[in-house]
Amino acid sequence: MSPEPTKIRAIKKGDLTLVSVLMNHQMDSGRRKDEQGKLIPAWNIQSVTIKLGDKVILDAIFAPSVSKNPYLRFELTEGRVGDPIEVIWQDNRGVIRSDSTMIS
Amino acid sequence: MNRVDGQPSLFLTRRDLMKSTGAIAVMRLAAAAGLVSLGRVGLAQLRSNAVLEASSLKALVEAFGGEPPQQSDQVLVLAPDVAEDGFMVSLGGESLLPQTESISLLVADNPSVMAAHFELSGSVSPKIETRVKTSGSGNVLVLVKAQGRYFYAEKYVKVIAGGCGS
Repeated sequence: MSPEPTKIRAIKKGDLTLVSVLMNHQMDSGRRKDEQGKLIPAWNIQSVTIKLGDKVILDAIFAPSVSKNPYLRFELTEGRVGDPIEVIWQDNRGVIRSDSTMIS
Repeated sequence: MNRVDGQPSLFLTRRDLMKSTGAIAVMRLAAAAGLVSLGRVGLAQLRSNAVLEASSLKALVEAFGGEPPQQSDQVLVLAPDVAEDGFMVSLGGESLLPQTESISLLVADNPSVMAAHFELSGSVSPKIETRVKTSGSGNVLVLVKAQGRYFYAEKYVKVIAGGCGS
């Protein structure tokens, strides 16, 4: 169950940095049933932290109702080309995944 | 179990810690050590069952410890009028209020209303978009905390197919 990498795009546009993030996760709500009618246990990302360099810029709490392969889009009012953006998530099984990219 | 690919040793250390002790206690320790950000409200509080299980806007704001929220035209719901697929409904929130601290996205008819909550630093514009699962057509809400008070806006989204309830 090795988690797949998070896709991150951070593009400088004028004064802003446009960031889009696509996390790879099943996000089972715990309410869905399998073919035998048994509930599929909840399996979801619970928290996401996004950093610009060493600085935390966004902290998120996800409920299981965030869609499969969670997507985020937002704008930063700072950041320069070449600065690292890091996305760290943790799910309810304790898996932690961290990925980063540079602003381009 | 907790496999992390190609991570710096920081994460391996934390993983090892988490194997041997209660994850939450360790997350708090890690937070105290500055390894994990807790945001302004604190993940421990946000992850409390009251927040994740709140079944209404009112209950959610109570769980955050706030006064009853006010409807505001300075809060914008970014959602389509009609969504094709209830498993993947675009939902975002934008605040025009000064000093916006957090944005939460809610689906009114889901058993637990809160889908996602974002604690914003000063370097993030108060506008964030994601995708959520809904239990069918119904209202989606954006809840904003600005200057210590809560404001919200809602919008009806018609869902054509799918969703948790179908």
